[in-house]
Amino acid sequence: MTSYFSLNLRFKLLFSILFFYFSAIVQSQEITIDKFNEEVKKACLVCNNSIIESKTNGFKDFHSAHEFFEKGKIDSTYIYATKLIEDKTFNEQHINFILYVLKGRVLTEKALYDAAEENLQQAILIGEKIKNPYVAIVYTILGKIYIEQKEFNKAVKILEDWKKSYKNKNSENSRINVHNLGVSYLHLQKFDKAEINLKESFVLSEQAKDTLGLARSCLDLANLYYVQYKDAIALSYFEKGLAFAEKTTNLPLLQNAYLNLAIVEENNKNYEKSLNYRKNFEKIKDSIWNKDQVWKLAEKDKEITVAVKDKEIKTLELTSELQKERLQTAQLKNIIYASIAVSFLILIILSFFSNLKIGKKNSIISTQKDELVELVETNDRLFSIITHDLKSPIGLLKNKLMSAIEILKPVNNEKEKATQLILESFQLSKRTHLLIDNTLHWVIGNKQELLFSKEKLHVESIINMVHFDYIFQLEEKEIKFKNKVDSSVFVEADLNSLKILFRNILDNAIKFSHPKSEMHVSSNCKENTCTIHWKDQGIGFDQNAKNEHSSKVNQTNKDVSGNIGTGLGLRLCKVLAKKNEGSFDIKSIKGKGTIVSVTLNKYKTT
Amino acid sequence: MINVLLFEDNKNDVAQLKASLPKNEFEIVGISNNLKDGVQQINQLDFDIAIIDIFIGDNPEGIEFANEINNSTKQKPFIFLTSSIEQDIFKNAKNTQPFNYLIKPFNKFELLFSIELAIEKFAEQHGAFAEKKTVFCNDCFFVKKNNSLVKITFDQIFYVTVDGQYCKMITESGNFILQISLTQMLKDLPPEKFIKTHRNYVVNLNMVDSIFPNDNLLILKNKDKVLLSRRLQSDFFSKYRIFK
Repeated sequence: MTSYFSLNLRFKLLFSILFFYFSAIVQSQEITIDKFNEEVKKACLVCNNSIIESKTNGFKDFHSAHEFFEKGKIDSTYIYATKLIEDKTFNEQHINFILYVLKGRVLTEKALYDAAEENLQQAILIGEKIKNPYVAIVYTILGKIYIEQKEFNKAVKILEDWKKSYKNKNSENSRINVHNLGVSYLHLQKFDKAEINLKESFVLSEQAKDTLGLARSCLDLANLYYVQYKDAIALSYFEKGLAFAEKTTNLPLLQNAYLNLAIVEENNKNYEKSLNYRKNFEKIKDSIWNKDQVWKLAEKDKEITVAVKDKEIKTLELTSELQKERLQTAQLKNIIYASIAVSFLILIILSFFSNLKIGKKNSIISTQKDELVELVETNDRLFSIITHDLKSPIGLLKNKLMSAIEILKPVNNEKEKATQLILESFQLSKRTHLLIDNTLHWVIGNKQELLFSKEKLHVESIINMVHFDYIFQLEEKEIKFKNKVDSSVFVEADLNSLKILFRNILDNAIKFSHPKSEMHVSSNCKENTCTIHWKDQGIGFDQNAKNEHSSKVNQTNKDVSGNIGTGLGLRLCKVLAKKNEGSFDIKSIKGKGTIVSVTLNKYKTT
Repeated sequence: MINVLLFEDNKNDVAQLKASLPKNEFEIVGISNNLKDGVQQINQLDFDIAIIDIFIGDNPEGIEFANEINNSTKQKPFIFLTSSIEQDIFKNAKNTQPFNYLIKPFNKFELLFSIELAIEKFAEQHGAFAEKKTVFCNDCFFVKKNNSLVKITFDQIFYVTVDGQYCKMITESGNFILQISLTQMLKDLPPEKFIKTHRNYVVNLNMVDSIFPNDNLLILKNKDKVLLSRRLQSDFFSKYRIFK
């Protein structure tokens, strides 16, 4: 029972060793690949800068194949290598060898071991033929594959084949091969051959000062002896192996050594030592586990923290976005409110201004309208007056002149009568002229284009000037005219308009005066003003009617000879007096006479 | 005589102007109806006042004529004559600083008044004639006598004497009472021509006919006798070179 158990245990032991060997092979593979790559580069013409040749040959694809292999893009490598092999692009065997090796290795990495084996066998065939030193790599790989598949016979066969060409060259590959051969024999329980090979591996490792190799060799030798129940030698080798393993950093190997020793000591009933080894084993296991676990935990922690951070960031982003949105909405609201307010303000201002404008315009329009109405009214009346008034005196003039001609025709001595008629005609023409002059002033005065400049005026002289025009008329009616104006009186007025004013007053006074009556002009000065009174002894008129008279242009009065007056003259007088910053007033008693008063500003000697 | 220069192309207006100006007071020395002749007359003729129609034909040449007078060496008063009373016409005329406007048609009285006004304004003695004052103007003065304007050059004066508050001027054209003191009068007369011989007399040196120093008497060319006070004799004689 015990032996069975122990055997069983010992086999368990072996398995675990083998398992670790595998990883050992994989580790050492890295170095061999680097060396192999150098060889490949040597063969590759592209890498050797032979650009011209590379174009003609398939070296471009070859270069791509090994380039992709270096970069780890093994699928592409496989495609290029397969294509090159199938097309038989290369006659050069060493290149074909490389291609097969590449293809085999790709397949090995993909764990397609059958296909890999085929390619690698081909590689060996070519490699042996051309004696390529890198065939050893192929053997190693193949050996590895077989051990992996537990095809130990095949492994032994291929490694023995290798050993034939092997010339005791101490290299990493050869050490691994020898070792693997030993292990394979150990599995096949060909202990003597196993012992030879493992011892050789030990020697080679010793020569190369390969501690790891020594540790492995010792441990495997220990296993070898232990399986054969050579416990004492086995123990010494285990301890040796442990010693070497402790020098390496390979923790699984050390762990393995501890475990093996623990089992061995346990079987030797040496529990204290066994427990010690077991503890060490556990420690390493823990440390490995811890390493892993700590790593994992750290990773997890990292992940968690990252996740938390991510979450935080996300929430922050979310909140920021929310805030942004809120801000945006707030801004939008603000803008909208502001724009609404501004537009309302503008609207209010605009409406206010437009109202103001409209108000102004309305007031202007209304005043303009009033003015226009008045103007149109006056104009209409004026035109009717002009036509009527021009018609009658000129008609009269015509008739009088006609009769004058008739009188003169028979050449009688009624010269006096003719003179009288002609004088009357002259008077009519004079009156007509005044009317036209008035009209002209009226029209131009309304247009605001009347020549107007105020100056120092001697009233007495002006009255004399005006009187001069009416001497004949006054003589005809035998009216006594007296200019009683103080010769020291100077007023500030426009000469032309003052003349028109006085002319109208005088003309009117003569019209409404009885023959052989008297007419006086006098002045009455105050501090700043002077009033000139024109007093006649005419028919006068009702004061009440006069008020209307002055406001209505077409109000007419009959003069002493029954002729109809217009009132235009008087109205013009008012306007002109006002324009000279003075005033115009009429006082009349019907049947007794009229006093027309013109008040003007005194001339100031400044 | 007051010399008048006319710038007028309308024959009717010329006729009326001629008729309106009293013959014994005014003399029309030149009439032109274009700028070229007008400028020539300004430079050649001796005139006291110009009457200018603004429009010659349709062009306001009268304004240029007025400018010519203003720019000439002998500045004289002038009157603008126009039939229009509208402002536009006068905008350009205003710049020439006319002394009066006369609106057509005008009567004799208006024309004379305008001339008086123009002379007053030119002498910057506005209203002087109405106040019966003398208007001095360069080498002459104007007086209103019996409603007519009289121009008296200094050469025409024999002497000036006191008449109550005023002074009496004895001239070739007659005697004038001036509402001005003798002292004031003396200031207005050119000192190289006039000298005070007595507190009541100012004499035109050119009008002295003979001197009687012993009798304190001067006989003037019009045979008037003027007193020569003893106090003022030396002053009087300093003006003459006396050959003894």
